[in-house]
Amino acid sequence: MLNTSPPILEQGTLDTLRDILGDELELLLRDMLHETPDQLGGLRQAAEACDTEALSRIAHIIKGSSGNLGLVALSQSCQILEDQARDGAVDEPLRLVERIEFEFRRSAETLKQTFPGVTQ
Amino acid sequence: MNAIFETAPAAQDATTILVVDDDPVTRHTVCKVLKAAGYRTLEAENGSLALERFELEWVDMVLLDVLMPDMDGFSVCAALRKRADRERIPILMLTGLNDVGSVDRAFTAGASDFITKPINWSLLSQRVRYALRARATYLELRENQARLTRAQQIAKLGCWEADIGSSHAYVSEELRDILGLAPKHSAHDLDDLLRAVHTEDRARVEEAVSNAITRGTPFNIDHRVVRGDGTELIVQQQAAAMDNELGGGVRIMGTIQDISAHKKAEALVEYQANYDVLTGLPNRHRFGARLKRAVASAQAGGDGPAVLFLGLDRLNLIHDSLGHGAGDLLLQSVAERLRRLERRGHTVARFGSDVFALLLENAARADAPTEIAREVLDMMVQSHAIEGRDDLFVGASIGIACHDGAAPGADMLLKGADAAMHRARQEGGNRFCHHDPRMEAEARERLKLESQLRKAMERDELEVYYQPQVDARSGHVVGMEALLRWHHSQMGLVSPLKFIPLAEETGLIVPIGAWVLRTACRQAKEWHERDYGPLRLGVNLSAVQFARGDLVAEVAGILRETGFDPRYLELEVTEGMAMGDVERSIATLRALREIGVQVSLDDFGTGYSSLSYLQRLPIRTLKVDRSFVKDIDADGNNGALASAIIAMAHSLNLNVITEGVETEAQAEFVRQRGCHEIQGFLYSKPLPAEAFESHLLSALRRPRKRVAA
Repeated sequence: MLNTSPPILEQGTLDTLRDILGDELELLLRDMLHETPDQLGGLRQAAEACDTEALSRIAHIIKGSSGNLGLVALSQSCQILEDQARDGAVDEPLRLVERIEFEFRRSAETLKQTFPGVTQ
Repeated sequence: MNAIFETAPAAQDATTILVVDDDPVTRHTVCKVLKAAGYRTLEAENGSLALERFELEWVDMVLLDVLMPDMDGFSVCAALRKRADRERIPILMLTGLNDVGSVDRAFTAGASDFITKPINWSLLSQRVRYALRARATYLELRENQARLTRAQQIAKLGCWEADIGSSHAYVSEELRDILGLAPKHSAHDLDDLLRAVHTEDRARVEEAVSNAITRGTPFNIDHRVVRGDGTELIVQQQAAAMDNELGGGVRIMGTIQDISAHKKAEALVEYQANYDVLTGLPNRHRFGARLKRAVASAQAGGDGPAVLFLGLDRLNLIHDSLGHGAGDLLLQSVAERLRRLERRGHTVARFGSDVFALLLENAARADAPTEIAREVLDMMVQSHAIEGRDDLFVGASIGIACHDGAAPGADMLLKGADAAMHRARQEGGNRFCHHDPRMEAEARERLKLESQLRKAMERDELEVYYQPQVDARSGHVVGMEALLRWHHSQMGLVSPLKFIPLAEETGLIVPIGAWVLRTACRQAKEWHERDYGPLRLGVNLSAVQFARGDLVAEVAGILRETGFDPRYLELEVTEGMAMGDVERSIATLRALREIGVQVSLDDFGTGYSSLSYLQRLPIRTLKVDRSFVKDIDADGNNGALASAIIAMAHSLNLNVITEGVETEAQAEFVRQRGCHEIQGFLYSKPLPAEAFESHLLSALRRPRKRVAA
């Protein structure tokens, strides 16, 4: 059941990763913040081209990476797109992509506030 | 500080995990988390790279995402499993939450376990740990299984288990090997196993199995098994039945061990305990058992057995002159000949080092043992071909003991045959003799005498007597012959005719002979120093001494010890001895000559001689045997042979001594024909040293007989 207003960050996940990895967590987060924009670019292109295969694939990737890091809202927005794309028909792909982009910006902001080291 | 992990297990340092995911963020996170837990990680971003890495590097575990760009995770999983199956490498698939379809497909593809996404980081390394432990347990089990199989192979031990209700049986690999069962199917049943049992043993085995099941009695039996290829084995099978733990019913479990080699070894030991290794004949132990049985069945009614003992004459001489190798070959050759008798139902055995025994059962005809004895002597007439020579003869002395109704037991027959054999030997060998109960007394006496003789030297019961040899013309004593006498404390003077052959047979003649020589040389030296003139000393050698390789060395040693001048020592060798192995005799005599000693040929004319050999012998003196003079009468009749021998000796330039001269007429006869020296009762019987000396004195000062010039 998808949460209608999921949290941006799941603190528990990040805390656990913090415990395990210590400062290395920030490196991971930074990597994520650097790489995801490229993926988002690909997603937008796929939406404009109505390439459901690409949409499904890229959405799945971002869903995975964000989900594993506790970025729930972002992850779930990708899930919606992935599910529709897998079924073969996406309503308003661009709108869903915009939503994902929005969630990404929000997550990035929140992360930078929580983890100042991430901006480097 | 990692709160999650208390300790990082040491083994994790070496453990390598391959992480396969196209999402770099997830991949990196997984790797970092695993590294923090002490594992080593490798990464691959797609299926093909994953397979490549897997080939190139050692991997203990794979974490694999289901969705990937080039190959889907399930195909990758299946491909990895093919390569990784032997090592049972755990493959954990990362599946979507609630994605049951993926979980199923992961299982089919060979995944060991699944981890749902988003990943629960605190549990990730735990899941990994569990999976690694399961693998370690599996590997240990497999190793133990391999060890067990190896041990079973070494022990040639197989095991089996069957469920009685279903009759399905488990058969271990080793057991399949032992029985030669084709591994066509892994499921066997009890009938497969029973079919392998030898038909003759099957009833016994089936009964044992049946008892085990119905009465719960375990069994341990040896039986034969016929393998798939037809070869036969002997196995030892132990089995027991027990109740199934759950659900009732009975299981029966057993081990089967191939003991064929063991049985062969036992059979060999059994053989060696009963058979003589050299000839392959039964040994005395087995012969004794057979004899007892034969005697027992005779007592039950039936004819008694006869025992023949066959001693090979003078085998020890052959050993001494040709070596034990030749002696052994000779024994084998004799055994082969005797074996012909086995075809007629008689038993031939090797009883002693130079003695064979024959057991004649159902000696129905009273003369059968005698016939056999004759037959054996005939067999012995032919020479044996040994080591390239074709001229080795050996004679046999045969003793026959028959079972008579008066019930002598097996022991008596053996003793009787032995005594009869000795008698045959004493009478010259190459003949047979029947056991005479009187001979038992003789045999006992013989044994007694032998033991006394052994002690005679220590007890100072032996003495050397001397008989003078007189110059035929002057009548002066020119030499003496040393003769052995035995004064037994109780038996008195024992006749040399009795104990000398005994000494020769037992080999006692060797130390005794050396003692005689030493004593006589010492005495003669003393007499030399007392100026009785250049007296010559004659000492008899026995055949045993003559055949010994160290004879010359021993004589030389005694001469050195005593300081006696070898020129005055004359060793007396009988004609029989010298003509035995002529070449050897010549060599020995030459060697004696080289140390300065002279040799005389004793008892000349009584044996078989080759006159051409006589010429070649390096001897100085010929002693004419007493038998040639004893019949010479006052008129000189019956002296033809004595004359001939003396004449021959002269023509060969030999010194001649005539022995056994008792009358003046005899003395005159030989004197006239040119005999140089005379020995006999006419002059003196053999005397102990003191008496001889006083006689010598008198002889030198007052010659006993005046001789015509």
